[in-house]
Amino acid sequence: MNEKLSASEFYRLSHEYSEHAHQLLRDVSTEQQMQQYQTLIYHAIHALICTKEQFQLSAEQDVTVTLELCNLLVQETVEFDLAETYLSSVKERLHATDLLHEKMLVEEALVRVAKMRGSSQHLKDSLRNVNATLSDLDGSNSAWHLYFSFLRIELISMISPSDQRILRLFEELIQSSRDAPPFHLFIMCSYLGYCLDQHLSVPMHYLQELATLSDSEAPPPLKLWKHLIELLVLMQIDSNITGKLSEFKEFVTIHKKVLTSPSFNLRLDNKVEITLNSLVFRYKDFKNIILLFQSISYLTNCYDKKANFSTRFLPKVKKAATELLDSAEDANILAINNMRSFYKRMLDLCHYYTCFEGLILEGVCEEVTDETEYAALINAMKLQLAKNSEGALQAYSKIIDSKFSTEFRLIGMLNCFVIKVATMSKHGGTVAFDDYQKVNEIWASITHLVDSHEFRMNQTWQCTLVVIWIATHFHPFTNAQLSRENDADYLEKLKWFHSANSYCKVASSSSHGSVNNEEKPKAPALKKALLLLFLLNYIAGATVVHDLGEKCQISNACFYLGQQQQMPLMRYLAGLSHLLNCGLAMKSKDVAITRSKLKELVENLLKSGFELAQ
Amino acid sequence: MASFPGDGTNIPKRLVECLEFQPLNHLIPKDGLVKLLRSSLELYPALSEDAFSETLQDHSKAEKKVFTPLGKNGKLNIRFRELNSVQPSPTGPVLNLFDGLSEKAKQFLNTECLSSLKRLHSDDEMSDVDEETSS
Repeated sequence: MNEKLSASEFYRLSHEYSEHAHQLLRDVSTEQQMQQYQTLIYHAIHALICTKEQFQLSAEQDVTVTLELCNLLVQETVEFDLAETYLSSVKERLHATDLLHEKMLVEEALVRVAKMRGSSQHLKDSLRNVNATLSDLDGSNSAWHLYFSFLRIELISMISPSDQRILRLFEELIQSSRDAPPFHLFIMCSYLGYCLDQHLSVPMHYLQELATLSDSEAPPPLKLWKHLIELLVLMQIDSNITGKLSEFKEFVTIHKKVLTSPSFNLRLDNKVEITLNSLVFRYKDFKNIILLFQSISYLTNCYDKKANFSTRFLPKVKKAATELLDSAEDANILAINNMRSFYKRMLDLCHYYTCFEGLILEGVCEEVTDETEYAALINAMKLQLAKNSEGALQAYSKIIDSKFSTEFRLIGMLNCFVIKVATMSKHGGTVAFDDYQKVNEIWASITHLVDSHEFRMNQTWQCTLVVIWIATHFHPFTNAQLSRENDADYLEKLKWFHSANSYCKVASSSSHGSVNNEEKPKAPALKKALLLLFLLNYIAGATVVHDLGEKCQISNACFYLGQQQQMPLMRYLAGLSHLLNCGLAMKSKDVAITRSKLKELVENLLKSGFELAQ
Repeated sequence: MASFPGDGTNIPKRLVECLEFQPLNHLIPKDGLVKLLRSSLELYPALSEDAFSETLQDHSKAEKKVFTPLGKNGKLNIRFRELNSVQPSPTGPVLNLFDGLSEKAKQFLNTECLSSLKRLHSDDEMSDVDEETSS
């Protein structure tokens, strides 16, 4: 025990203890083994402290040893004060020197400790330091400026995610990073990722720039990241992703073999190099991500046997994520915890989306008990399906008033709006002024949020607004007397959407004639979401389509396609309108068939809780 | 249409009244996907330097000091992170984490160092033993 060691021997010993521990961490399974693990880590930390405190190290050595010590403290312990104390004292020591690189490394480590602490006070203090560092770096020409500019954006978005400065700072950084192409690419991806997260419209010119970047300019994991961001952009606006998926396939075939590590390095200049780390850089993790994304993009198609990817893939992803939950290679506690929360999150998402699928197909789903925005939405929908409108309204209102993202709040608002108008319609006659004002306010908030966010580019959302507005403002869809002052040419838009998404195979030009002029671009083919296409066709069939043959085809399609999902009331409506149309068209055989199918449907509805009127 | 199926029942006949019980389930939130992807990414400066590499000769090289057990005088009190458990799994074959250390590392290992620490959290539920790697 009394043998003496040199500084480098202490240092090597520390490495041996920590590396040995990290190799075995994934096999630790008992309390006793955990104690052994912690004993090893304790010695690794201890040996580094001895190296620092018992010897006269050069400033550079001191920095390296201190950074390693802080890494251990942050990854293995919750001793942030201790880490900060060591960093601050080495920062002090560097003060009188001109060791810029070392100063930056220490400053960066301090930011990381602040981010781990996560309190808004620590983040704000850290932001102040980063700003000071950036002014120190002004004119230095060092790539550290780029890196700290990125840290500044990250800190601001942690403090307040919708801070107005963020977009401007991203724009500036994208410009100033042009001399470091891979980092430039990474920053553009981060910018788009931020826009996606905030549901802001993504700047098209950056998307185009991303699309044109030549293949040689970036390491494969970064290109993979770029593809994933591009895919999410398409998904957010409900665009077709098949083209993107084949790009992936092609990319993966070429690069699969090199995508084996969750991290890779990017060089910013001859001095500064950064490590990027994400599980999705590994092919084995990435392939699950892509299956998950594909499932969600096609979730609304789940009724379609040819495109029900969610039904096929979600269970696969679930299984893989469960296995990967414990797939750590050499790792520290923090890395294992991060990896486990990543897969836990992935499992949760699988569960939520399976629930959405269940609600669409069967009107039922498994229990969801946690406190997330997904759980809140699923449970509100369940209440609505259970005809508990009071409860559903409360649940949706909770979502609207929450700090959940714009997307969840908007979905909550729209459902809430419909339920409120439905209640007014049932009571009929004049509407109480308060209620009247309330629904108008909700609609105004909905259109405001849609217009100021990326939903403005999303045709599913745009068409939804059209059909919901008409369903809530026009007879015979509603009996509530709402003001039509906020009519934004919704009928014209209805014709436009219907012109490309009609259930009638050969729509006569007469019914859409007024839209087929040159000014308007061709209407988009919507995603095949059954409820939306049903609503669009049902409403169009009753308002803008005048040809009886066409009306018949549409009501027929609504009535029969409607049974592919669990929406009996929608089907009932379609059946009524089909009965009427067939009657007018004197198709006595169809009248008889429809009538008997409707009777059956009515019996089922009566069993499900509806009753004969008194 | 004098009478039609469902007439005389409280089954709603107006679209908006039917939608009262029909959530707009074609609006699928995708928020979680963006968050999942973004949360997975970390970046930090690459740190590969060795403090005592051959090129970094220094005056402390010759100096030698005793490995003082800090734990005993209570100078180094460390609260460890807890490991997030996956699920409780049956205890596998005994794995000794000290096996495989070098002689020197074993020599300086004070297995009692933790007992002097105040254990704050000791309920780590460990799990999932990989049987192949246990010795």
